[in-house]
Amino acid sequence: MVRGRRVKAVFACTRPDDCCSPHPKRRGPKITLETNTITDFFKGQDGRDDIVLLQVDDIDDVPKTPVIKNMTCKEGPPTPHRIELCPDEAKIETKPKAKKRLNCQLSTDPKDNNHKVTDYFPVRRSVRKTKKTVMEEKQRTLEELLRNGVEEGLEVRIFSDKGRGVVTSRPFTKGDFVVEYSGDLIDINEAKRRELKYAQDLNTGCYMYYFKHNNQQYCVDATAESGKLGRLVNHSRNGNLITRTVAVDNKPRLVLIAKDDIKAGDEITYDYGDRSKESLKHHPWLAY
Amino acid sequence: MFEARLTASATFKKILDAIKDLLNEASFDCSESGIQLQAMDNSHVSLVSLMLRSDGFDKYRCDRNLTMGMNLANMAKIFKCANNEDTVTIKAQDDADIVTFMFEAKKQEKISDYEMKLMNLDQEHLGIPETDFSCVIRMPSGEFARICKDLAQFGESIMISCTKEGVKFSTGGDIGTANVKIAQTNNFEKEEESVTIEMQEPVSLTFACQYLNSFTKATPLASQVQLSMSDNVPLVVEYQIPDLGHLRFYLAPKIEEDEN
Repeated sequence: MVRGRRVKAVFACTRPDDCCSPHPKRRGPKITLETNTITDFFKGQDGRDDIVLLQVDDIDDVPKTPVIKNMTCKEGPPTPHRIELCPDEAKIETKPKAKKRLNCQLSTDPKDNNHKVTDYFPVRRSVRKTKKTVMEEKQRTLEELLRNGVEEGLEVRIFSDKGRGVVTSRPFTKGDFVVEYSGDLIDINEAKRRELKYAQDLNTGCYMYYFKHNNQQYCVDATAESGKLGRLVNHSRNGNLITRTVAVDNKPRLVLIAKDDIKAGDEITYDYGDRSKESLKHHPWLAY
Repeated sequence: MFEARLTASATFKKILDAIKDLLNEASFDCSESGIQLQAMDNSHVSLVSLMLRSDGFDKYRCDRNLTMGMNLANMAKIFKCANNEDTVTIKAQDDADIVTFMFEAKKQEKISDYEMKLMNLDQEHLGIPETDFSCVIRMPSGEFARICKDLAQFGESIMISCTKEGVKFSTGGDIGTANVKIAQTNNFEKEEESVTIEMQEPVSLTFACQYLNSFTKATPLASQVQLSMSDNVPLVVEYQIPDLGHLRFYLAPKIEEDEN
């Protein structure tokens, strides 16, 4: 049911022939009615000019003059005919809402032939990153460097007083990755075993780096002459590097990071961190 | 903490009326220098740029830069609750998700508070370069609104041609054509009624009527409107808001037939 609408068109025809046939031939005298309607004067195009709308009940906000589209002739005696609007079929032509939102209307317009503002003005994309993104990116580049075993901007120099050391050949800024302390990653038991072995030979230096990663004790043994530069970095209590552990492929690795800005040609050092009496006895330079 | 107080709440009403047809929602960027809004309509054909300088407010405080995404229809609803003479105060806490509008009646016997939820809008911001326009036309805003309204009956687009003689607005459609010519007049006594044209070279551009008509909703804001045009650059329709800032509309030109 169309909501709340009752339309009755009562048709009165005085003619004996069936004027409501699909092809009416009627061109006869006018029907006399109480009120004249416009259709009395002007013939409708379909020739059904004798249909008169007598009563229209508008309850809702349907247009005041409904467009009668689906007229049905009830079977019955030829006169008077009663024509009723079938409310279920009747499609009321409501006007499209006068004021549509402008942008909705245009975005759906298929023949929208307008340039866009974005054709003329560039969209500003912020290049700012969140702290988290920056950290992640840093971590990723660091891992990449470690995987490739990059050791750039460094060279070995032999010092008269302390033997080999590593100096920079380019400046490093604070926080830069400098070099990895690379060697065999071993657990604490294996480290103890090796310590005993190394202690027998006085010529072996101390290249065992003990550290904790995720509450687990590890050791990187760089005793073997590997050609890597990390193991040659000397000790200083006020070094310009600090050690960090980084997990690469779930394995902890030791990296040396610039603690301050480092000029080119400076020797890089870090604090070995070993202050035990035993060590100091054998390596008095650890105190400096 | 953000707080902005304006004696004339009518100005805000007028601004909202001017932009709420083009934009459903928009972000108000508040900083120490003032309140700014930049947003494109859904079809990305036009751009609204609003600037309200902090010194134009009776009281302005902005401790931290703040972006407030608001539904403009809802905001207009709230401002409908205010009388034109009311003083409006817009308040928001830092990192807050609501904004408060407070209306004070003139004699302060009535204070109304309205809180509105803020929205997180992901809107594209455009970088608008400084442009030296070929033509800058200043004319009475009412006159411009009238022309746009009249010509919209005849066609979907309006061609604005600016020569040293004057400006010609023309359109054509099924029923015929329409042309309105305006010559430069220098009415020194009534400056708001004068038409001035600054022209480097003649320009002729075609724009969609519909948008121009939306822009003219800003007519109550200013007595004069400024149209700036250059080839291959969007039209700028600017309304100066007295002592407070400006409202600018940018409109991309229609695609010429021969371009395809």
